Amino acid sequence: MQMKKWMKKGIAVAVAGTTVFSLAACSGGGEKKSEDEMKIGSDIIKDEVTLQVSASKGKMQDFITAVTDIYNEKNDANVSVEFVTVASGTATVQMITPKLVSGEEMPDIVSISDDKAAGVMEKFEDSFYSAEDYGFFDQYGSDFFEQKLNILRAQSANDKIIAFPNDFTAAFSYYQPEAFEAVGVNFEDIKSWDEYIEVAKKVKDATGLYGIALPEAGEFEFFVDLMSQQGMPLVDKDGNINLGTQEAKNAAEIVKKMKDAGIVNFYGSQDGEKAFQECAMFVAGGWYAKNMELNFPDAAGKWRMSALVPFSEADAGKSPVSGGSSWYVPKDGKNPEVALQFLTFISTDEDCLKAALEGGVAVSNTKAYETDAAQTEFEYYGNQKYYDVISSTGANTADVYYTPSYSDATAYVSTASYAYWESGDYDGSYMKEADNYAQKYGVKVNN
Amino acid sequence: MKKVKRKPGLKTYAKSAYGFAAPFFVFFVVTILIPVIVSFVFSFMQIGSTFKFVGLQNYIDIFKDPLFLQSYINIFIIMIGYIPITMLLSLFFAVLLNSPHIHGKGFFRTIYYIPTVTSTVAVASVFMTFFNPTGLFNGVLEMLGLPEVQWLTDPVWLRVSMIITEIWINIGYNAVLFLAGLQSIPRMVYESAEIDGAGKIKQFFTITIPLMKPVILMATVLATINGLGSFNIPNIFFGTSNGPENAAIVVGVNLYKTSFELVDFGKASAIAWTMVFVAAVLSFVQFKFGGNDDEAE
Repeated sequence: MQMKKWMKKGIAVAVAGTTVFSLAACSGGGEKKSEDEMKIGSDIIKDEVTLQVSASKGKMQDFITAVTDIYNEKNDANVSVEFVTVASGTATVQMITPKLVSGEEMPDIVSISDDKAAGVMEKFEDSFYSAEDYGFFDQYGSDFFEQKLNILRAQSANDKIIAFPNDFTAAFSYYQPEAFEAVGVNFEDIKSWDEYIEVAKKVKDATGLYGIALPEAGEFEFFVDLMSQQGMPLVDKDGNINLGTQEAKNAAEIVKKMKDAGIVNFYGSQDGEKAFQECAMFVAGGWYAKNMELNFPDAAGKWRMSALVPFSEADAGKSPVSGGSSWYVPKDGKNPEVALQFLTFISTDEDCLKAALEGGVAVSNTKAYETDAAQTEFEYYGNQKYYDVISSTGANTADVYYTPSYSDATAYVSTASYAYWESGDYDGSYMKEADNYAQKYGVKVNN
Repeated sequence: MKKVKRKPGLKTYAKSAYGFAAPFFVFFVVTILIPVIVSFVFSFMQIGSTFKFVGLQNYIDIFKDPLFLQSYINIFIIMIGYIPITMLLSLFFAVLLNSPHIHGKGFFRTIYYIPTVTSTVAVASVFMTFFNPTGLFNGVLEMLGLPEVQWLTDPVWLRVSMIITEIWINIGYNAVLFLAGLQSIPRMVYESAEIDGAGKIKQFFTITIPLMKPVILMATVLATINGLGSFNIPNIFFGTSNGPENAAIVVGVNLYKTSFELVDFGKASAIAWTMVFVAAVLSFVQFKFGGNDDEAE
């Protein structure tokens, strides 16, 4: 059966037309309110509005639910929230970027992890309203941890902050005091990683508990923490990688010493949290505190939190940043004005800040740590005031630059670490991967 | 005069045929053809809030990445490892299933096909526990008095672990495919061979294999194309890390990283189109060397 010529032409035109239409639709959405028309201080919109919020399930959604009631009560507003549940990190980017490309309707508010946002901002900064242009930081900027603002500033091409800062924690040492007391040591008195390694060997002999847990196929988090303690970020602001520096070599050496001392609990990628429980001390972000409480209720009372072991006796070093997310208002959301007003309120109102701390969200507004909620004693951690540790470490965090290639840089570091553990050859491992990274991104390896 | 009812002519049949084919055609155009064309266009562009034509820059950039070629090497090693073994085992099971002496064929067919319909993510997650240092496989090795294997950390063994998982997932589908092929071979061909004195083994190599060639070729080509895009198993096993000695990074994961970590859809589209090119070349080579053999027929 031969297709008639007119049918063939018709189909070709239809395909071509739909393709062109698809491409045209991708390249931009409809009319959006300009940034000049959206300014802080405008009258609160009191219409009945449903804000669509993209956030992970658990404490983040619980926080939004709690503060929505406070917002409505204090502002006589009528906002309800509908959640778009998506895991944090790459899953969120995976959800929003196709919508950004095609100009589809977006949620009104999107939570994006700080370490993943740079890639989105690099390509789609113009698709979001800027909190800075809105006027948020003119009024409230000084209330936030400076390092958090630096992280957000570095995401933008012209140092403009797009996001509303949300949570922000440093890397903590989670330790079991009894394990160290068994060898006559107070964990908080340990003065350096070298001293820690010696103590951890004794703890392992006495209790069977390991000194630290690391992924068996290579790791980057602890290595980057050790670099950060020395004031050296993994990548600089321009994306150049700092693996040629003395700080990087020092970090690699400490991890290798731990491995050679037999104090490392190596785990497969599935059972990291279980591996932590087999340690006398492990390193994780401050955000993990609530997770451990939920996942290991039987371990209540065994653990305490502290800033990381000092880097060396001469210099304790800075606290490495570990985790954090911020709120973004897409221009293609249905209710951007309400979203901007809502986020301004929940990021600064005292009752909202208290609700955040009570729900385990370690917000980056320093005013939160002046409230009575910050004095809460956490029974799970032996009645420790968790937020004291958060606020003291938050004020002393190291520089970090989450460039679009940052996630990829950590993959190169993981590969390098495994090779280094096996060979001890820094050039053949870390420098080799640094060169691969530099070649891919057209950047330098800093020495 | 009596009215004679005319039979529908060719014109009417043609209209009906187009009518029945139209829904699939629309579905194909909207969900496959247009995205493919758009992806091709994207591969020459920088995609963001605005689109910018960059010519071949995306292709040049991806070739600058040393791990881009490594990702192809890794996936080729895995494919060379699992495809031949999968085809052999699938053919073996298909011959068994086709045997008149086996009872409960329906049951075995179902069992063999279960891996195909099971979520690859679920399979990979389970196999990952098997490959743990204290998992099932090392447990079996220990029972046999053999040393444990670093399944997910040794650069050689981590590829073997992916090969084993791929074999498990793909055997069932190909066995059912081969079974259909075996059942299409006329019985009388075997009967004639038997009369001529050919034993079972000779029949297998002189009748079964040559007549199964088109099916084996199709299965191999499909396995090659699917294997090239392998993503779930390496992603579950290793996430987006490159693995020890960069042995774990494969093209599919590289494409995902470029899309959703670097947020560079232009370069990701360029990677996708290199996969199309490689798949086309491999398919051509396979058809060229494994194509029709007149002697076999």
